[in-house]
Amino acid sequence: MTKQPDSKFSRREFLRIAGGASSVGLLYWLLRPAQASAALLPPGAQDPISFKAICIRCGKCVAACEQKAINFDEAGFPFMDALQGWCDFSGDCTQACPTAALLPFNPDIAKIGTAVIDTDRCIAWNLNCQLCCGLCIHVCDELQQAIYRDEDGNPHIDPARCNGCGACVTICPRSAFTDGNPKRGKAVSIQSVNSIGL
Amino acid sequence: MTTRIISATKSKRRKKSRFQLKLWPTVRFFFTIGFFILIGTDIWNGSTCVVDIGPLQIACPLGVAQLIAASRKIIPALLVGALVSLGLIFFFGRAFCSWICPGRWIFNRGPVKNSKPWKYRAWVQRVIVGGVVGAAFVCHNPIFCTICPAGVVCRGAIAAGNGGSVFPTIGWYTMLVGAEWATGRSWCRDMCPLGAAFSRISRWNPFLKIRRAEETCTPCVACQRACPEGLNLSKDTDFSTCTKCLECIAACPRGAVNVELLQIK
Repeated sequence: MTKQPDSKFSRREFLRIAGGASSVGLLYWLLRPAQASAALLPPGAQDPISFKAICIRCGKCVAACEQKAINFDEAGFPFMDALQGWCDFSGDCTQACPTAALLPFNPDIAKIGTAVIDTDRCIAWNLNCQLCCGLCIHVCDELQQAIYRDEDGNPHIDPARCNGCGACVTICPRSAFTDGNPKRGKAVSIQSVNSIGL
Repeated sequence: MTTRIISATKSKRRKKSRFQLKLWPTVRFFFTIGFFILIGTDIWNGSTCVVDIGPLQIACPLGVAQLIAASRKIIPALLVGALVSLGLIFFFGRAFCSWICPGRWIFNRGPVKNSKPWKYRAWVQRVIVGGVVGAAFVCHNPIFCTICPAGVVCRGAIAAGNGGSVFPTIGWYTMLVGAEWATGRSWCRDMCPLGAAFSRISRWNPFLKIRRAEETCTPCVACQRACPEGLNLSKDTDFSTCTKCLECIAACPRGAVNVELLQIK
């Protein structure tokens, strides 16, 4: 008869410790204070906290978006992923939404966020010429005319005109691959604004 | 003499192959695949959470309950969708669990050895459902939807089509299978809040019931071994947790399992 050697951790004890640790972690995760995340919400969303209360993460808006501008974050909530595509304010996502998480909006005044140029990474800012790069200016000329060059050839963004559609981020030729290095990544990013127009 | 016996056993072994294709599991598998094909090709718009079938919107009742608890708002269209799905549960019982839920093909692979359902199963199920809705109320967030296996698979499929990450799907399923292995419990039978909610409603279901033929049934445990919910047709009286997977029909050696469509007394 082989007898199991006495180990310090029996299976029951291991399960007890693992269960205790995971339930403490779960309790902390459930009861932590609500944080307004920096992720961009789809157009028509209310403030982030009430959006998270009313979204059931069914994924209809992600499937409905023809531009593939919406994607899931880790918790399954939709957010605007400008690396995949840009928002054309067609309202497909608000029509698909079964709950009131995405409300109908006016495409003329709706605003997702504001684009911000990182001057360290931008090619035109580094080379200082009127002709180099400027892809974001070309793409924005057809949409909002929010990006313009100054006399040195550096692109600037007019926050009053920019509606945060993300077309400049999609077309920016800098690699999206960051690898944890702040010097890499796209030269334009969309930053959320507090007031989201309806 | 001995050679004859050996040859007889050999022929017996050859007849009974280990991997048999059973009828009902195959039908259920293609039903699940067909549901996801209909969703993926936009013939039906939506996911397992909310699906539009023509003008009809069907919504997950547990998700809607959590949503009302979390946001303190009532959305009439969604409430109607939840009532429609409650009606479907009334007609078909817990059939969602084995006919549509993709988790059925990953968890609950036959009863685990020396594992029994919870002792006061109905009360454990009520506590699980109440806990899920209560947690949504406390956290202002339908949190079970984050980890719901059916919803996680839908989100993973949509994300895969959109160039997103399928890591949450794979990670969560790996965690649940690991927990099943470590604790000897079955997710679908003991833990799943969806299954718990559906089986509480499916108590009132008068249609589609599995019954034994009392003349031919000699009480044994063949059906209990085959049943992923651990139900025994000759012993148990409450079949509210039956998922209509019809595995007991093939398992019964005497063919004593009947599917009764309508039972109104």
